[in-house]
Amino acid sequence: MKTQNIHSTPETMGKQHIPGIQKAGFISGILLLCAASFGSVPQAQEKPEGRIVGTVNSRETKEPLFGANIFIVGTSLGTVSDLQGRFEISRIPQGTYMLEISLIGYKKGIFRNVRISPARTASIRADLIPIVLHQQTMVVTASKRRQRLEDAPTTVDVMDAGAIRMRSVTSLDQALENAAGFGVIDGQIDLRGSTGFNWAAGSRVLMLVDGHPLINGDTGGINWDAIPVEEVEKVEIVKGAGSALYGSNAMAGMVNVITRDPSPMPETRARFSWGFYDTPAYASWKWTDRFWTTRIAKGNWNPVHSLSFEEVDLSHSRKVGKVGFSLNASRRRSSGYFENGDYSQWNAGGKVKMDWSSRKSLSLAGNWTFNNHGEFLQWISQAKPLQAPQEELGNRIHYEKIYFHSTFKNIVNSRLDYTLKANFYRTNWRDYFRDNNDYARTDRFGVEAQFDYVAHWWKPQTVTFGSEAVHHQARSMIYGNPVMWDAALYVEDELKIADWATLTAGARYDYHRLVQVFADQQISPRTGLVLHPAKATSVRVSAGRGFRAPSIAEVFADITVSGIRVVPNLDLKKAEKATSLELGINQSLAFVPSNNRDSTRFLKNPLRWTMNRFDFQLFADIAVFSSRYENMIDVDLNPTLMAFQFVNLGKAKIQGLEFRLQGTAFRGHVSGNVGLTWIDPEDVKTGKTLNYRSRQRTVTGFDLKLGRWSFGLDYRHASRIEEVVNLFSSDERVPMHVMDGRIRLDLGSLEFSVEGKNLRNYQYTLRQRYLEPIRHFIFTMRVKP
Amino acid sequence: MKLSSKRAWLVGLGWILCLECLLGISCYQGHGLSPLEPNSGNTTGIQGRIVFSGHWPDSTKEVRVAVLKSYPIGMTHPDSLMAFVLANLVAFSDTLPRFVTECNYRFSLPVGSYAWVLVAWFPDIPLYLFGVKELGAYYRMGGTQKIPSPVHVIPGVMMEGINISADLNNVKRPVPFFKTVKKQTGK
Repeated sequence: MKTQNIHSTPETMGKQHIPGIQKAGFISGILLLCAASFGSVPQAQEKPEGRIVGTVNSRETKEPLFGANIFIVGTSLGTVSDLQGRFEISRIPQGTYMLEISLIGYKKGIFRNVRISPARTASIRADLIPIVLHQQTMVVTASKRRQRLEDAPTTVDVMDAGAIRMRSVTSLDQALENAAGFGVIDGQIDLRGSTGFNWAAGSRVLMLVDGHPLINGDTGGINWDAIPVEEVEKVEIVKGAGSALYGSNAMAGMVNVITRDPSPMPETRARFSWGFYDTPAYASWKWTDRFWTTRIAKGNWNPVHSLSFEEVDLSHSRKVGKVGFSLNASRRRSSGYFENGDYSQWNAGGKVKMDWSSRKSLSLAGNWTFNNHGEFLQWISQAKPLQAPQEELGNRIHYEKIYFHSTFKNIVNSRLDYTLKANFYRTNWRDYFRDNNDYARTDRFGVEAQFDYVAHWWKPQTVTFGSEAVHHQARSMIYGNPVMWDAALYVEDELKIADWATLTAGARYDYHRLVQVFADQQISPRTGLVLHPAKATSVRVSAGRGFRAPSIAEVFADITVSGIRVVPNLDLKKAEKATSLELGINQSLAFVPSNNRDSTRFLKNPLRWTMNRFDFQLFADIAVFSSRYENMIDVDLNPTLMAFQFVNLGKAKIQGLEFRLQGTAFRGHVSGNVGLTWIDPEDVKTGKTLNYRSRQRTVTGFDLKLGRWSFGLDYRHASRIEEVVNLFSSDERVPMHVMDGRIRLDLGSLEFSVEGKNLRNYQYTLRQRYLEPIRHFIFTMRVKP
Repeated sequence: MKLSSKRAWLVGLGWILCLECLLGISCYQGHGLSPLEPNSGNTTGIQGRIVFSGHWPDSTKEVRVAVLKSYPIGMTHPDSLMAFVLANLVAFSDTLPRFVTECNYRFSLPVGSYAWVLVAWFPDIPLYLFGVKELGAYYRMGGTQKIPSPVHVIPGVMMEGINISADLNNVKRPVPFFKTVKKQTGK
């Protein structure tokens, strides 16, 4: 067997050839799919096959690179480099291909004219150039399969593990608040003003973990504490209608949390955090002597029993043969900063991944969380905003969440791969209130089969299609025992019209049934066009329709808390729908100095000195968007019943503009980001601003690395919420101004950090009578491999 | 770029200070929300005497003074009153003594005008906000006017003489405040 050697840096370029795959019809694809589904059926095509082997190294350090994505363009074949930087892709049909090798932090390697034949093994040696370019990022959520960020038809924001961990957060939403257009009100996501806040009963943004929905079966809400923050690899935030692939709840976007795969080498991680709440901004707000800073002022430095919080996270990961596994556990406790605001939480989970070959893998993951927390619904008065009414003191909630999900992925051949998914999510809570002991246990079980078929009819294209079924069952004192289920079929085609243009079109059909109440069906189409008019420039246009079916809670909730009563609405039978449009453009810029070892002195020639040392990389993105909602579901006061109900309110529109700028300079020693979002959210019928929306939102972040030290600063601003639901609506409301700062010392396997949250001790509310966190400080020690 | 630890500290702190100053100057908005009576201790608000008439119902959970910004003039239908009250309610006082014939009250309020100061009776059932009844309101002329008298709270002054006659018989009859809640049995 001969070997074709290609040793090249990524600059090796040639003319691109379409892979030598015979043209075939869609029917044959379906047949192939059926064959693949039964596993043992032989290959549909008897074509000679070959393989590619190679290594991936850093051009700068010459060290092997682990985890690089190797992908044969125009096929579904790909793999990941191992610890020695080696990779192998076998059973490649004979032909000439283009190979892409990408890794975050490195310039992408492209190898054209890679010839595959049974007689020879193609050998590749890739020396990747270190560089941080936003466009190197691969995403998996926007089109339900792996693609380059700049090829996604809608806006995708990516927050990686480094950005999350540097912020010492105890809950993932605290980190995501620093993404552009991303608001969190009492745990509920408000993406570009889509949801506002509807008292945790239905989210217009779908939460996913490793591509599996993680939303409550009853409310459709999100439990952030069920996500182990330390296990997160990255988070993809997709903005815009996503129902064409994901169905209900994805009408305004998706947030996909991608967890870390088990490590091939034994790896143990630990995090220990302790923090305390500073004294409130006003002396009259001090409701206890347990504020540590108050104690220190009196000469008592003992932090025990002060208003504090701590967290311990442990995880271990290793691989035995072809099976990798990771286990994690965490314990959190907080006294809270207001009365009855304490919590105690336990969390345990794990992930197992089996790689039979580079083509077949199975992953199983699960997590259990138990949270025992006090309930603070509203303050006594603005003079006592950290104190709960006497009759609510001692009210507690026990909340348990369990989820399991499994993913089986099989690359059948160079054109077809399929993924089978199953997931189960149980939420189980009980109130221990003075006036009630309500409870609810809800199970959500879902299965999905997804196929990706690479075809070459007229132009290269990838067809993604599949089906999904979900069953919800609640057993509750406040909902009764309703059953709800959904079934769906979807298809989306990504057509490569030219090297610089990609067209996407697809639709999803959903049948939704709330047993004995109503049945509904929806078709959610989506189309998008992505153009690359110049190098590192991307223009995207997309239009889509999304929907959200009423949740069990919105239809059946019958509950009274602190005198506020919510009653069922069995007439709530219409799904809310949204038609969304987006036009966006992004541009990457990079400047690399010609000679950074130049000996010119600054004072002698400042311009030359600067030009020879200064490097930068910038990513800028601007998007205009518009969504029109019909039958929008919101909570409203029913004056006849003198209680609140969820109702279809009518039409609304949200339009706006978002600008993002991310950059690094001085070889990554300085980095920063800015996100500006303006929206105009209007109730079409009344002309009023929609409830709980801030018209303007700003996020900025700066980080500076100097040797082992790093320093960072975040600032978030949201304009005053103009309208709220008609409950204490005359209460004073102010804009949000929050500043966080951090200092970190990295000693290799040990890392220490101090972070100050809400440094200016700015006092504000996002929903009525609930003061957002006052200034607090967190000390963290992290043990890492 | 390699710096000594000491220099790294200095540069880093300088960086943060500069940014803090820039952001602080450009975005400084004070501390946001503040207590209702800033810089005046507890001297801004209202105080007065409440005289109860009639018999105290056994179902009494508590009694408080409630303050609303507006009075629902011409709004007689109870259906719309609930929305009005929830939108205009400024504050409840602390719980007042029960089963007494009269008592004094005093509580802090923000500076402003309040059209409706009333005594609110809370029943001993979970739906306390919806079972609330008005026992009586503040009338400057002792109840001869058609609508309650407004109270103007000025900075640094505890407005005295906001006296209210509370009729406990109002508990038994429907009054234009909150209607009795019917249990919803829709499912």
